[in-house]
Amino acid sequence: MTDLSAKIWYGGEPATGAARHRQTAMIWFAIALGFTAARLCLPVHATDSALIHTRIIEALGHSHIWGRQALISSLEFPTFTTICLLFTNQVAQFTPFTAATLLTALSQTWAFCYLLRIPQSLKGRLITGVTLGILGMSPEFQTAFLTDDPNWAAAVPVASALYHLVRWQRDNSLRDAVVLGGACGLLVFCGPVGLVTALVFLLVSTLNIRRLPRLYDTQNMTGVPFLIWAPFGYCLVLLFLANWLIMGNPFYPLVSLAPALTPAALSALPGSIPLSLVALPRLCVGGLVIAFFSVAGRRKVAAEGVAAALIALFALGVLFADTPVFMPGLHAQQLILAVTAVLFPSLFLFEQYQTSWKRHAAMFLMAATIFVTIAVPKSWILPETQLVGSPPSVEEVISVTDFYWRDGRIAVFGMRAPGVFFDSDEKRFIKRVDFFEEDLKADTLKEQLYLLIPPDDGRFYPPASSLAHLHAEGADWLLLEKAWPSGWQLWRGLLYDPPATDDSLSLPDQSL
Amino acid sequence: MENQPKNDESYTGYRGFEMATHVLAPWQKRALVGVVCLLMCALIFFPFHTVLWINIAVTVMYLASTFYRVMLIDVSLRKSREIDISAEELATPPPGGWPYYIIQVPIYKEAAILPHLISSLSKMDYPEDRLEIRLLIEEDDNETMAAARALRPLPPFVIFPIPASEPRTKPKACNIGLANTGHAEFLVIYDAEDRPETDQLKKAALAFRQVPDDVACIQGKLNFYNSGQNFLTKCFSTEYATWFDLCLPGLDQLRAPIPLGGTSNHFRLKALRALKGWDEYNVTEDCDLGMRLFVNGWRTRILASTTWEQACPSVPFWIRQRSRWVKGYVQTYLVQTRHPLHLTKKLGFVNSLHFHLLVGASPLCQLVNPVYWILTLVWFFTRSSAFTAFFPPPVFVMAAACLFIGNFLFAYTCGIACVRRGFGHLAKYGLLMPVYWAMMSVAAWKGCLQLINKPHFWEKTRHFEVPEA
Repeated sequence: MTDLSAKIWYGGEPATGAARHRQTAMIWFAIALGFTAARLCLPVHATDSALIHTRIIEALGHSHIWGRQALISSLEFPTFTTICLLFTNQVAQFTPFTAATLLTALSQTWAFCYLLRIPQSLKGRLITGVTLGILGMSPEFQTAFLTDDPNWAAAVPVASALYHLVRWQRDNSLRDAVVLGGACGLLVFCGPVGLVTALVFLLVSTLNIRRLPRLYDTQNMTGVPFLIWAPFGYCLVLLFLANWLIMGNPFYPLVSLAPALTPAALSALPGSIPLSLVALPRLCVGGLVIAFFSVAGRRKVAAEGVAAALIALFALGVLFADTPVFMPGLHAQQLILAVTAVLFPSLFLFEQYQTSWKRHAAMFLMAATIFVTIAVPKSWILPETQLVGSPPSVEEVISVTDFYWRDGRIAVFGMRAPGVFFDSDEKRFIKRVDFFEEDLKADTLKEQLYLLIPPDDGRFYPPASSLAHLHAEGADWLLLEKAWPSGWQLWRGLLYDPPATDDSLSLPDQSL
Repeated sequence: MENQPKNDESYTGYRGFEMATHVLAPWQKRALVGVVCLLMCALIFFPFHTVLWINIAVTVMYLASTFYRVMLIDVSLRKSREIDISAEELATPPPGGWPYYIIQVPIYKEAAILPHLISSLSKMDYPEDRLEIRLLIEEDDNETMAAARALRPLPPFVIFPIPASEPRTKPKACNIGLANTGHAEFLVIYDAEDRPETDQLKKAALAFRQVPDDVACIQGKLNFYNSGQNFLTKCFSTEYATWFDLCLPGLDQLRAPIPLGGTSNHFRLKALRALKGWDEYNVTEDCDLGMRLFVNGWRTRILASTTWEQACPSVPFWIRQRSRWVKGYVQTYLVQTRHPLHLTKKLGFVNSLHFHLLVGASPLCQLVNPVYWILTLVWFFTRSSAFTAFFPPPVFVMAAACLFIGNFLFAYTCGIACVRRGFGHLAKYGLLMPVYWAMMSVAAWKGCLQLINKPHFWEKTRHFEVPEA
């Protein structure tokens, strides 16, 4: 910094030490920029999740009620992901990339930079980088990494929590405990997987609070559990408050969890377990072994956190493999946790294992895990769950309605169907997250409305809900206009009595 | 160190620097009238847009304050720069022996607390032949003077009568004390109820030896020995912990101007004399002096040593004390900005931001807070769409962030401060701080209204009898 610029910025006194910080920041910025650029150059495949989240931010931009509802009410399309996408979209407009692509790349960069920063020594960081490079050859790693899934945003708080948990043990700084708490708070808005990961980290930290070294900047650990739990508790309250304000029911997000916990859903478990085992990344298994191996070391609290979180996510993946609400961010978070666990030997090799046999054992475990992970054939990996299936096209639906009522609007409910049948002006499609039959019935008195009901396969609405009943039984105020082989149904409201002057058929075409 | 700029409208006082003898300089009066007129006209002719832009400005100010607070706390937590003197260092006197130190204790109508004061200052671990403890007592305060004489304090205690004159403020007494400091090298101010850590003088003396010569002041940390007395003292302790254990070390780390705390500021006497002492018309003379030190090229550092004070346990008296602080901050802001370009040139862009956000925005936020709290409550209970037009999407996002995230962060940082201070059991009170903030707003309005009719009136802090901590 020159004297003149120092004078302008600081009134004459240059901030000592700032130059070194700027240099370090520039190096990390360059690494992050390189990683992001490389990631953006790689081929990626789009996901339905990106589609729905993009629709939510479009709806927010158009001040649609559905946008506000979708932002806070769904655990399957988490709030944190949508908000990150919303902000990324402001930047993505000036780039050739979609907001989802950019967000995924930035999140992955940020998360992996956290991993790179865990080792203190340059040697440790180099080993971490090389290991990450080798793991990059693994088909599972590639599948999870090269997916345009905005739920990768959740990997950032997970990596942050891990990073600060490790640092807490190493540096004993209050800041690390605080940021760990903050990251766990953010995970509340990252769907059920995020919630579980946060809970595991918080529980492990709290249970180990007596074993953790005292913080150097406080006299005792009194109040530390409060500090690490407070953001989590506040974020939960905030989630419930937002749902009370917008959905009228503070516990609305839990409604989407209920179907996954019904006896019918749980009875399907035996069938889904083998499928989930095949789908489970071998990386996680290896990571779990290494995490347990590390539990004996000085990093045991961090290792316990990783191991417990991996087990919890493994259990979620197995138990709820067929329940999409538990899927957002699962792969990203599993990957970050597994990679951290696999990297444990390299992260702490030069600090932790003093005896040679332990060092050799750690290296062997790490190499074996990486080998097994890379050696898995790509054909073993399950394709990504399709969130929306094969709905009829927008034109097809509109052509049916326009046959009699050219301006008839079509009501769609839930998260996914409105995401597919998105109408920025709401001229042809009106959408809501929550479905109340009486409200729709009242609306059909005011205008000619149609109801588009997706198939009753558990992906679009809970199995025993009102929509499922209508799909199966219909209603005396609805007439089935069309049923597609894929299970989609279009129903027409029968209550609308057009005014004598109304001449719908003569209205000009109002296609999308 | 440097002369003040020449200006026909300068209100340079008789002490040779800008003083708070008048609340506003002539140009500030004209500017204020102009802004008020402009605002009135705008409200009459463009009511919607005027309210909208005021709302945007306030929201941006809130957001800036929130970011600033988070940044300050983060810097403070990352790396502490405060001076920490170890027990080993304390054992060895500095080269040339312990420097000559003066303790000044301004006392006014506080006869009851004198025995405690003498008892706590007698415990100070410092060579008596190098120490003078001055009890600055107003000549016409017969009760205190009589009580002090009855106690027959022995050296290093000295009863230092202050001639009866206006203004009747603490800085006036300190200035009179400063005029006769002889060969002393350092001076520290304590309040009557203060209980400094016994080794604080030694720590400060050693700290002055460690820091560069441009460090004119070393600020000790303050907190309360009666923090657990009631809800108010708990919140007050939480606030003090946030200020002295997080914010000031953060400012120290950033090399920013530091508004001094009321007591336990240890001065290099040559710097204090060069600055011609305190502004006796400013009711937070410490904040003003902190700024003047920085503007004149001197620096302030933070010392890891605590002085234990008494937290005011009574709401009415707390409001009086707080109203004086807010009034003083506004006075300081107005005095320092009488020459805004000169100030910006001396401070630089970054430090100017610190000054505006710390000294300017803090009282402003306290004044505006009730308006937004009422609006929020009205919206919660009525869900009226009348507010929608004043909160277009970007403003709504900022306002919601301030409401839901900003408020939590402010409260949460109070919890962090408690843990850092070692008051972990008070951390949960951080989340109850909104109640305390409401009281701060009441005090802020009282202080601002008092600035109009009684700008130099010193709302004296009353000290209560409390059980020993």
